[in-house]
Amino acid sequence: MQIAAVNLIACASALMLMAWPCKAATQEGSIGIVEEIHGTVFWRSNPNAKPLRLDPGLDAARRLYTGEQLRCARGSLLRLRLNGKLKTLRGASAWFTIPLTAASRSDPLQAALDEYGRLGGRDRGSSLQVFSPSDHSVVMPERFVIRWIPSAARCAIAFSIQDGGSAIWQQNDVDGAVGSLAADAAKQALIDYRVKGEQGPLTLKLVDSCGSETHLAFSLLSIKSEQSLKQELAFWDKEPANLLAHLGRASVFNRYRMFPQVAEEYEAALGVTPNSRHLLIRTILAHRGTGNFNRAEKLEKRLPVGTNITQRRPE
Amino acid sequence: MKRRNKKKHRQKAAAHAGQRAAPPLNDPRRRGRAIWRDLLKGLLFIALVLVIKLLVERTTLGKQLDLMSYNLLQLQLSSEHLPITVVDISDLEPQTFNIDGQTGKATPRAPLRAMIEAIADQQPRAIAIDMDFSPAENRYIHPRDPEFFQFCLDLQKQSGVQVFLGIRRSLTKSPAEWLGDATYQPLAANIIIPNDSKRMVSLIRIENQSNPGVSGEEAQPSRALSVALADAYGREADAAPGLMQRLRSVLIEGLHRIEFIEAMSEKRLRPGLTVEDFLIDFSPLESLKPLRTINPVVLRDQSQRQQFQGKVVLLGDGALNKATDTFVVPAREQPYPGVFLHACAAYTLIKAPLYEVTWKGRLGIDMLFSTVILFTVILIRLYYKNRTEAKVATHRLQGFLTLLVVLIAIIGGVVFVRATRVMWPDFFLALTGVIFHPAIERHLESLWKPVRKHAPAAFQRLLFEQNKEAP
Repeated sequence: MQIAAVNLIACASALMLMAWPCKAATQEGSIGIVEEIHGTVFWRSNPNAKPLRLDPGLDAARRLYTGEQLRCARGSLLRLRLNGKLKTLRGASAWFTIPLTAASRSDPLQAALDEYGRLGGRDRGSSLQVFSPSDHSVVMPERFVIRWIPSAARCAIAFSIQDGGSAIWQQNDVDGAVGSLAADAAKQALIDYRVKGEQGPLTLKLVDSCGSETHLAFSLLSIKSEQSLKQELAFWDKEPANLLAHLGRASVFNRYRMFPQVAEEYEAALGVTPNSRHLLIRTILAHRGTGNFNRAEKLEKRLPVGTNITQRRPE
Repeated sequence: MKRRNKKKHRQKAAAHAGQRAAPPLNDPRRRGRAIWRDLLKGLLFIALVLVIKLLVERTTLGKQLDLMSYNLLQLQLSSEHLPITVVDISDLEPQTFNIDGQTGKATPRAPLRAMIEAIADQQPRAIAIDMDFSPAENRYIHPRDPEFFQFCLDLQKQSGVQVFLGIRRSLTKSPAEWLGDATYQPLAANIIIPNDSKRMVSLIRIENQSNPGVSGEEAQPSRALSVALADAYGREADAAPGLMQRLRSVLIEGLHRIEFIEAMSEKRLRPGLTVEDFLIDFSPLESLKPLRTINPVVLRDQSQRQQFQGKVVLLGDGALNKATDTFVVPAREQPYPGVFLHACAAYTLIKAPLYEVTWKGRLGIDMLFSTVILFTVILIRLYYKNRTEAKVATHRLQGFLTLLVVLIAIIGGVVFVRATRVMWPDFFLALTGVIFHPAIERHLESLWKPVRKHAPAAFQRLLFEQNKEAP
């Protein structure tokens, strides 16, 4: 009888655990989460609903939706992450209403579609191919440089870095044929942004005078991660063998998702052993991964015709 | 009554002999009790293993295993007789224009028109262009777009070759606005590729209440380019199948009915916006050799006829160094331009859809594997309970059945995925669970034994004061 009871409880617990993702799956469309609760915090689904007290343990990471309200009692603290931004409420506070996102204000359906997928085809013109920062990579603010495949049409480009809907930096009228931009103002804007405890993701937006638009997402390396990155790189800097040092640094950058730097290190390694077929393939793949297809194509010409460019060992 | 007396007598005799009394090991009643106890214990362990598996699935390791398994399944698929041809138009550079005071940059329409005409002469079933033709800010991207769209409609009427043009920007508007005018609506097909590039959009449905501009009959879903092409070609899976195919169809239908598998997955992105998508079979990637040309003479050449006749043709940027829409796909190391994904998606729909094991299906399979082994062992033990005094080798039997189940699962779920078309990426974790189930059970049992032996005494020591006799 006891075993049966234990069995029943275990099965029920298993079923409850298994049913949990079903609940999560229905919670699409939230615009933020509760990050931290200290003390007494109340939540209500709308101004007319009965307030409920949030549990610091159970309600951490609770999803938040437009129109919901939160309030801190005296001496309490609540940290929210809304559209990637941190919002802190301290008690005793008035009711704070979860706002609409910037994107959802203009066209919520378009915003939802943008979140779901992207264009799988040619846009109106040939858009610029940015390879540093590469899409979904991580960036060190001090080393921030924008690099793209130069445009033969010499279109003028307007750059902006956006957090949600608001621009934290922008620069207009950059010659598209130049291929790179190392703007001190952009570096400073990213340093200031990180000082606030933010890491992104941020959007780099390029609009050119030829009518094309390019977007890519990147995040900032946190100060703590930057310190550990430097320590790891210092280890490889001590390595007397130049080739190994570059390969080691490439693997470190890869782990930190700093893909353009990975390609740079492979290029440096290729400088040491220019005839290495294996290294050439790895460099081509690294460039392809960032979107620097022109450089990849140039390197491909150094390989025998018909070489299979894969991660596998060349035959 | 007689039996009780006998037992008492036997116990007395044993006690008299200085031995501890115990019922005989081959007593059927004792065996029966042991079998039912093992059944309950087995069910408890199944629940425990399922919970462990569920927790592992949520971890990064679990997700990586899932992806690895999915990639392995993708590599088992193969393609033959491709009904699709990709024409790589990467060399058709966008040009700046200044027409009727409207300036801008876009892919020139005249060469596109010449190419479509040339391909249509080769009698394909349909032609699609993987470019976003939707107007921006209520203006056509190219001032000559209405003429180009009308040309496509006319060609469709005259030659019977269906033409589809990509849309993206105007998707959230009413269908009449997709290509700027209701007349051109039949040409429009969406070219969105989900961020989860394992999948492809089938339909995008926008409901009326969330879009006041859309009303009544106008609120129709937007078809994906691949769906439009597959519809134009016809689904081969619908053709009269052989016996094996029919058996497979019955099985698939049954699994589909009980919601263990699904071909289309519906996602509600927000109130009023629903997307249906499906898994892509990427096996054509190896055999799809795009024809890179923008020359209508080459396209019209008789030597190219077999590339186009009776097939569906996709025009788009196929060169990796030119395309700006590249995607990472399962089991392939390099990214692929979007046109290849549309081609693979159309192939999937034309040949046979891939089925995805649902959450319910995964749970069902896990439970089935574990319970099949457990119940088979239990049934064998029950069968021999009264028939023989020999003890059934439960552990050996369990080991053998586990091996059998794992083999069947690997053959049915992985090796024959080409025939079943059921993608079960959970197989690695599920089979790991089945394999380690007996070991987990044995380890927990061996841990439980000392606990059961010492826990009551320890508990008593914790609760009660020890009697200390006065000196």
